[in-house]
Amino acid sequence: MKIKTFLAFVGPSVLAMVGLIAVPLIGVVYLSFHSSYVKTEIVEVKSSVPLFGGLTKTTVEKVPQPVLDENGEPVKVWEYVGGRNFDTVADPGGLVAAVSKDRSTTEDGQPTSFRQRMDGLYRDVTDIDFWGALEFTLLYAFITTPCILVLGFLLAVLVNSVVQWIRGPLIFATLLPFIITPVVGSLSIYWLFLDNALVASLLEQFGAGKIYFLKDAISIRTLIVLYGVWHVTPFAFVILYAGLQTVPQDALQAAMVDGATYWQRIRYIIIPHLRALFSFIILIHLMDAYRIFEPVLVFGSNLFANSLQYLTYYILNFEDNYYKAAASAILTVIGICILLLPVLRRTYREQKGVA
Amino acid sequence: MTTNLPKPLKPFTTAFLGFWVFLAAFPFLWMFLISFRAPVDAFSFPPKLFAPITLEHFYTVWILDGFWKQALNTTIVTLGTVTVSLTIGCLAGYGLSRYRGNLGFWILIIALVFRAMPHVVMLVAYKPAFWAMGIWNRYETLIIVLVAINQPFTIWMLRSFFVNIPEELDQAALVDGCNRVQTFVKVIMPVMWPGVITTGLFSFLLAYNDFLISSQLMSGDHMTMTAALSNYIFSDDSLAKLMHGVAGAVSITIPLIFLVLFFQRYIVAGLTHGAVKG
Amino acid sequence: MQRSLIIAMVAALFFVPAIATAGCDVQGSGEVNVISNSFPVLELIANTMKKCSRGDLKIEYKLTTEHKEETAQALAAASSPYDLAQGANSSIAPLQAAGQLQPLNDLVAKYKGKYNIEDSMLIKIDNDIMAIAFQINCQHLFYRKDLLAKYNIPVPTTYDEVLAAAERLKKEKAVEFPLGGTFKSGWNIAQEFTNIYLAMGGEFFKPGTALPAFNSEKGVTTLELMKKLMGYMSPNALALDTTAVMQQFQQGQIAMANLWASRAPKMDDQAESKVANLIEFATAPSTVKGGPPATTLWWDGFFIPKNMDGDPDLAFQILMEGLSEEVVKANNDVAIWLRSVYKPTRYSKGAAASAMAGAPAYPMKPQITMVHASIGANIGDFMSGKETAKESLADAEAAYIKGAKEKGYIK
Repeated sequence: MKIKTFLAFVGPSVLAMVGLIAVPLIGVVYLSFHSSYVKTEIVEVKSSVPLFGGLTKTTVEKVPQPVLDENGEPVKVWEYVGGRNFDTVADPGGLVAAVSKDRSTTEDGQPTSFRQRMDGLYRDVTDIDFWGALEFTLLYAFITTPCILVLGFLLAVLVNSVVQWIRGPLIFATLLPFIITPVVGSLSIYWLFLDNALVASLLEQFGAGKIYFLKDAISIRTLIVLYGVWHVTPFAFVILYAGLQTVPQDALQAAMVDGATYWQRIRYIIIPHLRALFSFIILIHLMDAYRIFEPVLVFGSNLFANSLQYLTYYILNFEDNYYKAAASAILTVIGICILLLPVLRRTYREQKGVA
Repeated sequence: MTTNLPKPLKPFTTAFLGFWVFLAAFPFLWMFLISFRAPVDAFSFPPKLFAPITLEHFYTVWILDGFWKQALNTTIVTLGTVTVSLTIGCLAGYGLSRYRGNLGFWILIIALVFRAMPHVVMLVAYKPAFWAMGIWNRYETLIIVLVAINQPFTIWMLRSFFVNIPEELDQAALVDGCNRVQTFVKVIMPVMWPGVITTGLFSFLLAYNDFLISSQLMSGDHMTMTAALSNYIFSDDSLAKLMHGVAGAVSITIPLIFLVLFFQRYIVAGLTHGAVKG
Repeated sequence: MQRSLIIAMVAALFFVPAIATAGCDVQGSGEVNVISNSFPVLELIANTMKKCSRGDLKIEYKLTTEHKEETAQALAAASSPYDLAQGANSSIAPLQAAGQLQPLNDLVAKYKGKYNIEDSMLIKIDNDIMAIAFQINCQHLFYRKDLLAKYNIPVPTTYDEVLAAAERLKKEKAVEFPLGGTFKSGWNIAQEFTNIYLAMGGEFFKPGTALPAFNSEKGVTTLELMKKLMGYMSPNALALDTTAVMQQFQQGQIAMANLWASRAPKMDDQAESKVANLIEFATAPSTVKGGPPATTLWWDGFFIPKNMDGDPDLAFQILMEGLSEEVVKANNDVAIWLRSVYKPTRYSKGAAASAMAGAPAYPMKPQITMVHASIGANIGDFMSGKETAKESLADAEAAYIKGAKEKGYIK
């Protein structure tokens, strides 16, 4: 194919990606170095508000009010702030202070154990929103990845061993958590673990005592991780299941003739055959895990578990600060680039080899 | 492959698969069940297996609140996204599968990086920009955004399908006097349907399931079903409202269940395609 | 059953527009776009306003829980797509401080007689009328009268009494948890902090400045009291929002809570509650005997953006149609209305008593939303035992200072 024809074919797609992914990225970089606000000054203001039954309350207070220009319009300030937004989000000062803080003695002068010092360090570092969000995002990614690989593989092998007619319904049920809208899936889980909801109540009735799933960081994080495993395992399963169909039969036959046990066949023939699939699943899942959002939103506790995507969403919507959100977004992008670098290099080599 | 498990593992297989199917389906079944209950029974302590049935939540959501408008919006947005995605995706996928130069390779690598971008990153730019341009809260805007966000995945997947179609087909058509466009339309596309359907399903799922972008770029009567769910669930308004949210969540789920039933084969093919062959 | 349902649906679809045009007398033509939060009384107002639609007058009303963010962004743009927006104490202040609201003095003067606009509905900043309010809301004590009577516990009026009552109920194992509380980390818990902190006489800002003053002794005392209260609540308390607490009440699991007045009517709803008619309402507890109740009064109202592209006169008329005396009379129990035709009910008792006992209005300062957000995001660390009270307040203070600098409130 000639380059001109090629460009015509890929043109619309590339245009869409450049226009709505690349250009916005540049825009975000630009925003992250700026800030804007309405100029205010503190003046005395009398305000009155209604109470109840026709009463009103009047207060006189010093309150920031807009500075107006000659046309009576508020003065807007737009300024270049350098790295200030990044500084606010990542708080390198706070990080350094947290790392270098002297924790050799407790408040009452007792020497501390290594464990206590590590706990203190962990607590102070994750207390900064960005590092806390990064911590849970990575924790989520690295805990769920091996779980979905193992579970997905197990399911694939087992489904592959049952009689043909039952496989269809099995695959159907298995796909549900993966296909159904993540926010709905998260909610369906959440509604099982609420204070009065089914799981807590049943456990109590069966004598396991009352368990409060939304009580602290450990329980909420466990729930989010379990949700993640539940949601993504079908994806790993389907890919590995399809991969199993392509395992060369003659190799297996030969192994059996040589007296290889079931485990040996799995270990020396099947797993090596599926190696590329495992790394494909890891690549896709790392990307998706890094942008975990819905469960953090639904389990509703940035106090106990936060994620990078949720953090930026929070700054954008609840702090209503585009500029800080932009800085947070850029840091998030840098993070995923670092995380994916080894995988990208691999893909680069593989594809280069093919092409 | 040889499917025989060692004998002692047989009961384990049944138990494990049964347990898994239960885990996979139960949260949805329970959600269905409570969506037909009065609030007092839905989150009752102790839980009830049987309770009086009411259609009130669905009635409120669909008739009184006009959820059908949201359903219509979802239909417009998903159909639009799927159509545009596939059109430009097929063109690009075909080009990428037939072009031998370095440029194609780099496009794919950059697309892979774009695939990894958390969506909120772009959202930070979309919001002020679309607001200033006055194109916020419009179907076209959301559709084109979802198309762009989904392009990296779409072109990777479609490319891997096109790669499997032998180039001899192209050559024969070209020799017969077709130009590239004619070859693409008349010769290649007719044998591409499985790939198109599979990729289309994934585009559909992306547009249908998207919460973050849709809830931020659309509002009021333009919201999609998934985005509108937030008005019920996160309003912290009343228990009745929460129950309406449950009914809404069930309404969102039902089309997806049918989708899985009808297109299971294609979904599986799509998921495994890029990985197994490409 | 099914047939009657279908008939009802069809009837709903056909007859609502038919009743519509009755009783709406609006001069002028064009389009009016409205945005507001989404809760029952606003749905009512929305439907009333929409009834004014006619051939030459189009009314679009958007109910959304994200109204605050959307309004802020619309009003900051070159031209606002909305001609009327709803807000409350906290949301109006930053908009006013950015010079984005239209004073309504002339319009109020013009239509005062026609719509009987009462002074108690006007939100005034200096001499400008900035918004027209229609209801108030506040948190106050909800309690199980049967349980308190059974154990001979008087209705608590201070937090010491609340704690004593809770201890008693706990000893008697009268109920699963003696207390409930809107302690969900974020906005809710910061609201409870504000209630108690102000009742203790705490100040949010250093006098005459926008500099924070809540990292104080009183702040620490407030947090310590809150932690004591949490000891009698569900261990999940930091994840429970108002609806969840309400639901605990309705399932008979808690005996007392400081809840929003607007939730009171639902406590008697058989479809939601297992303890209907067993819940009574009273003044919010105070922190010291005879002190003001630990709650803040919120108003909800509408304002007109400065950058609107429509006709303010028309928008104002539509607004007043939505808040007319007839609406209040016909829907007395839906809200605690500010109009004098409103007849107080059992459900407004707690709010009325709190207002009469001197509960303050929620502060109407532009920086207060930032303080609220910073506190909500940080005191959870103390409540969950991760930090000391002092540390979490220092974190909140630092977060506020950063935010206030970015918005130019402090240098």
